[in-house]
Amino acid sequence: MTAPLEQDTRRASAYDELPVYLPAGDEHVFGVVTRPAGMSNGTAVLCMHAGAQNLSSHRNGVWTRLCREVAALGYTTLRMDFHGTGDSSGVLVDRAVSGQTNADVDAAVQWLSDHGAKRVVVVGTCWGALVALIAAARRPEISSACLISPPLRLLETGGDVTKSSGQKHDQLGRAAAQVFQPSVVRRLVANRTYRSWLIGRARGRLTRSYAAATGRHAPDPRSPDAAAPAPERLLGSLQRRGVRVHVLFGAQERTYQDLRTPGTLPRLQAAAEWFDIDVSPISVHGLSTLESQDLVVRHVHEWLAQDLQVTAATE
Amino acid sequence: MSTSSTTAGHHLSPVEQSCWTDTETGVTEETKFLGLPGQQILAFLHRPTSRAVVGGVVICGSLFEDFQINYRREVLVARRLAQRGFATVRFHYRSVGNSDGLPSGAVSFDSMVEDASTAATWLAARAGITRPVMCGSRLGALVAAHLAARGGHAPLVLWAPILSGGDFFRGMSRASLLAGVRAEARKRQSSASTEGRLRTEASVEMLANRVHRSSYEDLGSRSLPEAPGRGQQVLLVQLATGDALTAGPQALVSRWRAAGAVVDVLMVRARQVWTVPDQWQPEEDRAPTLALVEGISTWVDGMASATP
Repeated sequence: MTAPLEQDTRRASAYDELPVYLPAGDEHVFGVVTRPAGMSNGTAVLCMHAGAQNLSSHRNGVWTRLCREVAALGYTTLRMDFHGTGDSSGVLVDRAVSGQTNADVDAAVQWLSDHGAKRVVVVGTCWGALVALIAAARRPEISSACLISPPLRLLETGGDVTKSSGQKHDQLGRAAAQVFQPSVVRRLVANRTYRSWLIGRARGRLTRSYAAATGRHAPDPRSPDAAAPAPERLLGSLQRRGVRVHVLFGAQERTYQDLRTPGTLPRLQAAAEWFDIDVSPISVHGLSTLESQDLVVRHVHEWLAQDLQVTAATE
Repeated sequence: MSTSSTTAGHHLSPVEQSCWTDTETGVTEETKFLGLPGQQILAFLHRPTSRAVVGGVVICGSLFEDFQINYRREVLVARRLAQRGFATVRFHYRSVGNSDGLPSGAVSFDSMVEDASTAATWLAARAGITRPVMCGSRLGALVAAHLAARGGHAPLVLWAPILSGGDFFRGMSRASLLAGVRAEARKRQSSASTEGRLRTEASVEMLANRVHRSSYEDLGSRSLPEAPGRGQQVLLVQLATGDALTAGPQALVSRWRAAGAVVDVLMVRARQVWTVPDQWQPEEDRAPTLALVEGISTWVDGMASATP
């Protein structure tokens, strides 16, 4: 089939879409913008996936579906890849919600603001929900956050939301075992290009590991806080600014059990009493069934419709 | 044609936002929706900017969970190929990822071939490549092999290929059943294989994806060609934990060599998984990924150098 190629935006009944690369520090983050064909409601939705091994459309295109659906409510949306995931540049080294990860979100929020959004709503699943929450505390443009099964226990460790040291050793061991496989060693000996490329990769990895271990991440001028803030400070900031935080958990998920077990997350439990929490009988973590995918799309869609009314009432 | 648009009075310049250049590697990446409105695919072009284009590659990905499992690897292979001088195009099939949905939602072999052709047409228009190397990962190998044959038996990379569509759905069905046994919510469901249910139901869930019976029947009946072109250059990449080719790929290699194809084999020691791994290690740091990226790009490079 030979199709017309010179079309930079898409025209459909309810939306048009545009893929973009946004400069974010040293990296370029990829995203797809969906804009309503009709009147914009002035609010943009930034959708964040769950982290490593994921991409902008999210599992089975869940974000693609959501973004196209809520265009009918007048929302402009951006579904983004964090650095090192999907079609973005870079390497997503660990789960620290700091440094380049913050720069990724900053670039996206700034771009949405620069292109007409009066306010931004962040939506995220799992680790992406944690990134969304921290972004909501950091960026004044963000008015609401919708979090799907966020691992809030990671907030209790403050800035140290990376892997435990034991896991790091495990990973290094695994990496060493992989590198010393016979096929890799043979190639290392025989192929000069491969050798220099692998050495370059190893050097980069050591540099990143050293930076992660010593806290010497590359400075990011747009995110002076190099580590995630403590829960009280983070949630205090959200509360002062009146950011609405809605959370959806599956009843059996550890992310929810952590929050409801007395004494498990004492600082967070004390600070997060004002969260608007919904609990579903089915698991939503990982969007690992069609039922959970449908539930999340429907739930976020309905919540965005309500949030629009709240925004209209308060302005 | 629309080259720019406005949102709330702010100018949006798609051209500026749709590409970027990595100055370290000398590679430019460009993205675009291609095709007719309502039937568009999202495509990516990786091309060298610090050196001349020496050839082109079309990467045809897989479907369902496989699409996500292999995604970043395909991005890394494309980047490395571009670094070596090959303009490389990737894309999302319709009803997959960020592309438009098909009216029925059911992907077919023809729709996959059509989408790959659209991507190849873009590669030709942007980089002047009319006979690209076709590279297909997993189920995408069927599409790549078909288009390579149609393009005068162009060089072909079969990346952990699915030898027949039936194998693919059987593997997915088994993995789905295993995942179901592990998940509390699924214990209540029938233990009948999802593949079996597809014979009677319009669609079933497999590994968190909806598989339509029409896709199952159509793709399930497809397989790699019995005979390739005489002299056709082929690289078969096997991901396996052992050092030897497994039975299916071994039979394919023997058959294709006997038919006159020049078949090279790249063994990558890795377990072929059916579900997205629940681990955080960046793909860039995994030895199998390094072997894949370097192995495929070296073969394509060598094959292009050897071609007069």
